Amino acid sequence: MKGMSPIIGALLMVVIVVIAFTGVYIWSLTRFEIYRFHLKSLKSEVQEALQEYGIIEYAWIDKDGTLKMYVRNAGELKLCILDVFINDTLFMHDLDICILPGSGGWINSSHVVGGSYVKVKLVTTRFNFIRGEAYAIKG
Amino acid sequence: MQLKGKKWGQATAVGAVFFILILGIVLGYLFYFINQVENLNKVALSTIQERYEKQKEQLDIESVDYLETKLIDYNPESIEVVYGIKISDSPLVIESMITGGGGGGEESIVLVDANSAWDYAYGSYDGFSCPRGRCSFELKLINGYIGAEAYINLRNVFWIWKIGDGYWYAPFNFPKDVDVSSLSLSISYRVESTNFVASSGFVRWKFSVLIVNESNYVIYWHSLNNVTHRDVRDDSFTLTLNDIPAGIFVPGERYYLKVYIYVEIFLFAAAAPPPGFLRIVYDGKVYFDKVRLEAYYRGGFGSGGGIGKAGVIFGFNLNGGTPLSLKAELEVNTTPVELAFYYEYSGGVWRKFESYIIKTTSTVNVDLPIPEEARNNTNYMIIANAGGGFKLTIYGFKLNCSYIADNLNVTLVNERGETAKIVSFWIINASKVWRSDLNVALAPLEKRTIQINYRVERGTRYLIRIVTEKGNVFDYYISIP
Repeated sequence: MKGMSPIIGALLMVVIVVIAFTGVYIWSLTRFEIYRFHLKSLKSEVQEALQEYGIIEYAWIDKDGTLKMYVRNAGELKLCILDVFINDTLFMHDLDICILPGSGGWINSSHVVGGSYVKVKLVTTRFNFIRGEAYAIKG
Repeated sequence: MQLKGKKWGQATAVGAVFFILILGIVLGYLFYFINQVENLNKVALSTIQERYEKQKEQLDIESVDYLETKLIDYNPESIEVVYGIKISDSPLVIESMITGGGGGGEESIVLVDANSAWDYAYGSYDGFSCPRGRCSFELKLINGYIGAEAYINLRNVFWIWKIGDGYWYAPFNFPKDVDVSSLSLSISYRVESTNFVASSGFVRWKFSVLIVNESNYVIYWHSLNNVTHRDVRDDSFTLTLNDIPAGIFVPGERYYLKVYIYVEIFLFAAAAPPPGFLRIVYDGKVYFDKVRLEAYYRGGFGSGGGIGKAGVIFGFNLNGGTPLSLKAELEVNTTPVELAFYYEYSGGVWRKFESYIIKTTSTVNVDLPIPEEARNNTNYMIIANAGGGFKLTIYGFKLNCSYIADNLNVTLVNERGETAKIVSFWIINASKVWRSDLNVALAPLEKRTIQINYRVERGTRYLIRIVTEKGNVFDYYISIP
């Protein structure tokens, strides 16, 4: 037998296998950690979204035509309103009005709403919807 | 070959170890994933449960009290003595005027003098309306079977005023200080038939006059002339009765003059009518214009004869209030004295709403409910009558009025088995939106009245919205008349 000794050959084989599997191991560990992180944050988001609960106590179109509403946070997490849709059309955006659990807050529009009755939809930062309706108050 | 095989064997062993490690990671992740999904499901289930529990709240508004009552005094400047002479202002003392007595020849005392609709304070009957001296009828779909007979007498008798309930009457006291020789009763009325549809026949109005004593025992009865109608028309009548015997009355006793009305409908079919039903439609009204009962006597007998009368008009500044009852503190120096209470229906037209007999010479407090139709009236009148002269002392007139309160008292009931915490109160009408923070916790089945600092307006309909901490909304409606 010439060339590599069997011992060297065997060691080399072991080293190659160790290196190869170490790579696979590190890669899979990283991937799984990433998946686990995503899953954890997804679960957390879903959980929060479920625990978020708000209502429009009352909404109306005031005498000057502006929309006024009072929103109550009846959930367990801070509720942040992002957008307001009127009849499924974006009416106010990027509001970022946050209401603590057990509290309420006013949302008043600065511009005029047309009509005497509208459907109101609020979008929270967790992308939940809060639906309501508003009637015009006559002077 | 042996060496070669050993080399592969070592590598396989190393690979197997790594494989097991990687498998462990995969399985670990898998278990972790399952665990997370399970946790998420638990959260979702508990959220659903929570939402379900939230929906189980039930609050009811048992009552909304927006009124308050106040006693207001009469306006002293409004006092006007209409009968008698004012002796003093504070307290107001009126000496009655005397009518009749003292002179020679025949005198008369008016016992009942209902000279316009305002004196007809009583009169109603189920299904018919008899307000203030006017009765209207509407008889429809009265079907009578026509058989082989040549003629049918279909008689429908409708009592408009029935004994003990809603009939018209006028109380009077038979004078005790004069010797009444005769009585005269005259009734002026008008019958108006506005609609009469029947194949043949006629409508007959019949009137009966009764005089009963306080035990409702009939001491005099007389049927007045019939009034027959065959077509639409309008007739006025005056009936006079001079046959009421004076001897049947006990001097000083109280009696009631009652008037009853019947309507009789007679139908006549043709000689050989086809079998079937006839339809009759009749609309009619009776208006009383005047009812007057006079007692005649020889004047100049005895002292203090005649009828004593004292009357006073007084007014109140309501300031938006609604009168509920009239309180009067009075005193007379002789008994009995009959008090008749009137409210001013319109300028100078007075309507009687209550009577009261004073049977003691000590101070009396009367508290009389104001009828619905008089709820906007500010002026009232008391007329006192007695069988002789008397002195009427008035210590005070007060009107118990209801006002819209500055606050609302809302009585809430928690209808369910869980504590409900109310955090918001809304009251909304067509033009105003009002909200208040609340912090009221109601234990299961607890009832509680909360005061809301809001003044409602008359003639308005409101939505009351209550919001609980759990985000439930309860709506109620109230109308403020």
